[in-house]
Amino acid sequence: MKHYTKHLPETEVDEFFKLFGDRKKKYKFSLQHRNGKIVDCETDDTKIIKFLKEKGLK
Amino acid sequence: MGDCIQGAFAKAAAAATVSFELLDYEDFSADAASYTFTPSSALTADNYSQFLITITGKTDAVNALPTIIFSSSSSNVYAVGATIEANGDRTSLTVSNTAPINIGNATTFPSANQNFTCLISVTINPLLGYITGYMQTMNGNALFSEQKWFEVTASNIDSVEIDMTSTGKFKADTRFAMYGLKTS
Repeated sequence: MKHYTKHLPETEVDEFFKLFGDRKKKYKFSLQHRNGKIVDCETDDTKIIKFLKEKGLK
Repeated sequence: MGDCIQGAFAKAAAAATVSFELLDYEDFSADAASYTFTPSSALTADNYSQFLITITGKTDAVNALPTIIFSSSSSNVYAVGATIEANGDRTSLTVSNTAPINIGNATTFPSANQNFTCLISVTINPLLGYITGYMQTMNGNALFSEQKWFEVTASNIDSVEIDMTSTGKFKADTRFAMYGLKTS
């Protein structure tokens, strides 16, 4: 039998948690997201802010 | 019936008395920016297996968010949950390493003068060194609800404080109650 896989495109939320979701790294944020897209993010972290701006969030 | 295996069926244990203690109750006589409950001695996991908190109230004319602090030493809050709109749409919520924790975020409290109800179930996890719990908040005006599990760094509860952000206040007749389920 053939084995089929489907690779969904990565969304910004997946990227966000890969970069900032590790609790040991102690990033400070409050994130709201829906269907893989960031709706709102509160943070003062410069790395997170840079990421959000790259994704076009204002 | 014939023979039965001795001990196969445990005898029903005698019902134990559960001590359900009212730790604090406050009905605000006037608008207030904050309220703090300070027990005479810190509440610990040795003495209490669970705490229940209810907050019913209204925000004032300032568009601000109600928050809660579970201990004077708590610094880091982690939470995972969602806001749920009237039509059922869910927006996921993740909070990392911030403090204090919101009773409801800006989605749940989109404007001023909002009536709300918040039910919180809290326990102390001594192995983790965290206060952990589940919080549900309903904004009746906007028909939003918010549900989240949370963890707060603190190993006991030496105070519980609710605060409004910015210059906001809780309206008079907002009520705060905290109960504890004792371990003995």
